[in-house]
Amino acid sequence: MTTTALRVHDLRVTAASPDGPSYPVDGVSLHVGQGEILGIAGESGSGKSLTLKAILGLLPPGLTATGTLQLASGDGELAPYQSHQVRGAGVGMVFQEPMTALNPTMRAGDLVALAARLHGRLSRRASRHRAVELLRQVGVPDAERRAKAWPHQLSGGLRQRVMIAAALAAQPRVLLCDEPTTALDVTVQHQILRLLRWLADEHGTGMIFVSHDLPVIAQLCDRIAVMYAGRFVETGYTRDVLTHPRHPYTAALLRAAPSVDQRGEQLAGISGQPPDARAFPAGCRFRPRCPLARDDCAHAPYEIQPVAAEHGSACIHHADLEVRTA
Amino acid sequence: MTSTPSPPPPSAAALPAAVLPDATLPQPARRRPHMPRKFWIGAVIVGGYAVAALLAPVLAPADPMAQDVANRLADPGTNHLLGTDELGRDVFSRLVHGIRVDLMVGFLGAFFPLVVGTLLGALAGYLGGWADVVIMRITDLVQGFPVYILIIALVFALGPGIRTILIAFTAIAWVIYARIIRDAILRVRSLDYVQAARAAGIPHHRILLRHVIPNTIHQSVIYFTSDVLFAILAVAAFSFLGLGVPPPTPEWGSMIAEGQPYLRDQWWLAAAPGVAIVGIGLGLSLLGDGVDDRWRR
Amino acid sequence: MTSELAVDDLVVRFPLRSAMVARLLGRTSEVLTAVDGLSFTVPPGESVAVVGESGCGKSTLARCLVGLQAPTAGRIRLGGQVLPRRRTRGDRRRIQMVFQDPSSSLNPTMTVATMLAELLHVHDLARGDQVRARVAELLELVQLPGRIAAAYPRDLSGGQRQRIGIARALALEPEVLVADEAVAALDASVQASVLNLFAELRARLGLTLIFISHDLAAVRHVADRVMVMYLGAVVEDRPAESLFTDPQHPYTQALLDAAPRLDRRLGDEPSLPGEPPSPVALPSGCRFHPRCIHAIDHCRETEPVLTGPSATDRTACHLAWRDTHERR
Repeated sequence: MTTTALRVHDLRVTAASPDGPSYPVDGVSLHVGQGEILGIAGESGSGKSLTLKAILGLLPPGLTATGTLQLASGDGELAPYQSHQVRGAGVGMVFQEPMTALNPTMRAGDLVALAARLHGRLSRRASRHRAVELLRQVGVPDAERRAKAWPHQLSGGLRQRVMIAAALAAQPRVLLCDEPTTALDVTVQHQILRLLRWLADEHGTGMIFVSHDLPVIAQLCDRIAVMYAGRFVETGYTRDVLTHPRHPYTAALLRAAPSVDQRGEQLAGISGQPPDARAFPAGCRFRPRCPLARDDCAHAPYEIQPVAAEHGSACIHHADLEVRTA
Repeated sequence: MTSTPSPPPPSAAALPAAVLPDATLPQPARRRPHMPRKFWIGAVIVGGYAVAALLAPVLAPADPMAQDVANRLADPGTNHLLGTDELGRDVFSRLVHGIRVDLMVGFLGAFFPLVVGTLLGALAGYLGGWADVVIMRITDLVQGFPVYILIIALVFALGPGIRTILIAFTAIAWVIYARIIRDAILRVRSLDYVQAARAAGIPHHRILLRHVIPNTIHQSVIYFTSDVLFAILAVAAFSFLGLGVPPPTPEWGSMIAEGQPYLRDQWWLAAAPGVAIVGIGLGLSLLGDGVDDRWRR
Repeated sequence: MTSELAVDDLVVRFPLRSAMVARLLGRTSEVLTAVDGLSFTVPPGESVAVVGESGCGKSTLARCLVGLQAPTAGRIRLGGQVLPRRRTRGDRRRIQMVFQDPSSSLNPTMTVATMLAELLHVHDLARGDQVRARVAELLELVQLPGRIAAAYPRDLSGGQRQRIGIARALALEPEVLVADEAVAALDASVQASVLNLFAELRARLGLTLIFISHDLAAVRHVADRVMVMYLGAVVEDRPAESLFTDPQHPYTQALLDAAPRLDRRLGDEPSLPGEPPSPVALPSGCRFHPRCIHAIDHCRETEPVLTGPSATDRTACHLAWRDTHERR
């Protein structure tokens, strides 16, 4: 049993508009252990990126968050925190597009050194040493020379490593990753995934890894939460969820994914499209697209209920699904 | 079913339900955003001026040119809403007829440069190469000149009058439209839908008129509203200096000039046309701002 | 109706610094080699995938095929006829492209109907009442309801937009359809149905499909044959089934190893080290040798030839077609 590094309870993001408020993130609870990687899977508009931003207090203007955030302190005790306090200290973030997330007017080494100085109150020189050390740690070859490079001189993979190094400079307990490998080539993606796994295993960094790509999550994450229309619809250990999905949405995503290892005759797409936060359907929000929908789904609570050990589903007919996939 | 050379369309019924695509159109919530309130306030103000200009003969109680020296410098009252000027002409009538002159010069003074600048800028941006170099060097040349000096030189060369002012504005103000359109086109040209149009063999002029300019013109329109104001102010300024619209044509700038000697006792002679200029300026600014906001969303 | 597509010795180079500036600075002008001597033929109706990492030249190849990029050398033939550098409208009609990003590939100021009608009008493919009927037919072909004709792109979802992008290409009744990362920007659930659509259209219309993608899983689903590109050249060109089950080039092997799978955790499999070197200074010998774990001295000196049992079963590796155990 690992100790919990971050706990989020009933997180809700409110978007105000003249037509009344809407909730693109609508009651999300999660926890991440030390050295554990939690994957959040979902399509665009599901609220997965907003969840990360809310945890770190980086919501765009017009959006506000409520809920309880707790972070492990030095002695491992969970303590509530204000999101602006932990930025750069307890929680770090890695973004999808490293080109726009890195300050183009600072050299790679200085970016990392600045983060190290702000955190550890190091001298200028010590922070520079620390920066090179961190760059080496995240697998930047020839780190001393690369520290002097500008972001635009680096390849996409190296930029992503620089961003990870800058996030690690503050020795965060939890690293939030927002599609960090989506813009990268497969071979480089593989390198970065291995780096993240290594950081979790060797340094005990907890991570939340957001992606729309189920196979990537399958490779990397210990646990998975599938998000749809502002809420988690299925949570559990990655292997359990992907081999025995207990929510029709998860099952549909799995059927829709083409595989490298076999040529499928016909892929099963999901008809319709994810609902807008301003018009979530009543009851189960997946109902309009669900092949198994029944009348009582219109009154379903749309909340995660335990269905097996460490496995939760928001589908009231999850038992039927088990029969179908078996 | 009509017979056409193309292959038969697939029958949707033959496909399993799961592969049918998202056939729904999104919710009305995603509809195009409407114009902001300031746009409408501006439109009402500018529209009010335009209507007044059209109805000037009806609205004006007197002939704007008719002199009545016995009644000169009369106070505002029931006979003369805004009094009379030094030659006994009805100020309100002159003000209303002045809208015709100022608004027309303002709009044409901004419209001609818009057309000339958009065409030249579009050529420079889309064709590139020599066309771009030549046109852009000319814009540099024009921009390097002090604007008012250039206008004054033209006035002396061609003689004062509305025609001269329009020529002068067109010669100067096209530059900014050419630059706006050229930059916008360079941005749009590399976009996929323009590439797609090229790959589909759509001719250049069609791509320019239907795919490029409609997606870049709004920036010019925003600039246009402020340019109208600039033209009105310039006409007024030049008329004030005696270089613009020659008397006795009613025009706000020359009205201010004529009222200047009487600022102490008959201050409204200069103030009334001044307020008229401020009003149209406010209207045009709101209009332009509104268009800008609409496109930024 | 469909003809054989042939590419002969295609080369595309981009000067990075103009020759004049280079002379002033006293340096040689640098040249980026995006496509470095490609030759292949595609029989009518075949579906060929071109895969590779960013910068391998696959998108430049696509732009050459549809005539958006003039090649530095080499030529493209369709049905025995050489397509000229400046293509006529009729030439362009024969090869059409589907773009990657459906949000930027549709003109935001035109409705779907206007956009399709313009193409039909320009190419004189339909007149008067036929236009409306043909637009409806095209929408049906990409499995969209007819009322979408009146919609603007902003009214549509990503998947719907990409279907319109496909309808636009099909409006010209092309013989070859080039899809450049056409599903990369789509959500997983939408991706599947658009991939299905490609497969269906091919079966129905007998189109030749050039499917350019970095996504091996998507490629496996649509391609009869796969060409793997590395630094501007094809390193492996084989029937899809044999390439996926028995890759011959170490680069193909690395791509397959790195592809994420639902049923596999990150293991001890090695990552391909480094990233593709710059296409400005191509390596000597085999262009892949700096990253290849099997490289021998011969690889550093001599460039391997793309060869194999047949013209559509070729690999450019000195160590290919040997016993797999020997290579490992």
